[in-house]
Amino acid sequence: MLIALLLAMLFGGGPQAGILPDVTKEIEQAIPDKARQKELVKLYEKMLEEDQVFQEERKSILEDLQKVNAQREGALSEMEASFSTLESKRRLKRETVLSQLFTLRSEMTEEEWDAVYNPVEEDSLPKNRM
Amino acid sequence: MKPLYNFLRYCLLFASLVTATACRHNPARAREQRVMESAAELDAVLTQVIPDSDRRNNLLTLADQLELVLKTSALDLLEMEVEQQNLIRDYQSTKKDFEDLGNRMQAQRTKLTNDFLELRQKMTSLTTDAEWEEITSRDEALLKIWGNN
Repeated sequence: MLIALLLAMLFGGGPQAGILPDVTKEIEQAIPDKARQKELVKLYEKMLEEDQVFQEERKSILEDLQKVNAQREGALSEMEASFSTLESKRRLKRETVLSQLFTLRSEMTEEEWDAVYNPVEEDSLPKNRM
Repeated sequence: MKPLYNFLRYCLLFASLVTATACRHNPARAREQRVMESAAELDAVLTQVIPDSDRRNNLLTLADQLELVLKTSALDLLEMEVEQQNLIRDYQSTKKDFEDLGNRMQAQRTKLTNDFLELRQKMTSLTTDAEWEEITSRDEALLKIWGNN
């Protein structure tokens, strides 16, 4: 229902919560040097771990909020506090992950970055009409 | 009232199945559709749970307002998510670009939160404890699914 949808949207674990498309395979394909490849995947996995910690915290806050929402009276301040806690944790996670993303980027050339994050899809290549 | 509610639920389920395919490749359409279906379900629950017409009509009006708030925010947030993915792809994007976008997203979520809490307060003031419990108990199952996605 609408209330559940709104809470799910604010607390969502989907694209809006994370900034991490899964690019492990792309890194492995784009970086031929095995040692560098391993190092970059490690950096990327650190970002995923950070995101995972946040997802667990998010679920826990959402469960609490769900119980509070069922109370007709006296729930407002508790709900405000839950939203505020979530936003603080989201901000903290975002700062950490961003910093890790920039570290990852500094270890790659622009061509490598494009190969990982903007891979050319076969469908978009011009067709050979001959 | 129960058969009517069940009938509406089946209609919504059918509508969901029909539109699911069409929305698969259009996140904005899919999100808008989800809001509309959730709104229709809330209307059905209010119709079933609230016995007197004055309170029911007032609650349905508040539910419409909630739908509008949610629809607007859902699309705004989706646009910002796309913007975020584009920033990640762009090797030249700066930390400031991300911070500015992060602040805009936070402002949008804060506005949505405030609007929600205000409308929720109005809704609870028009219901009894038992009615509110009935309304939110149906949210619990959905939150378990949506909240974990």
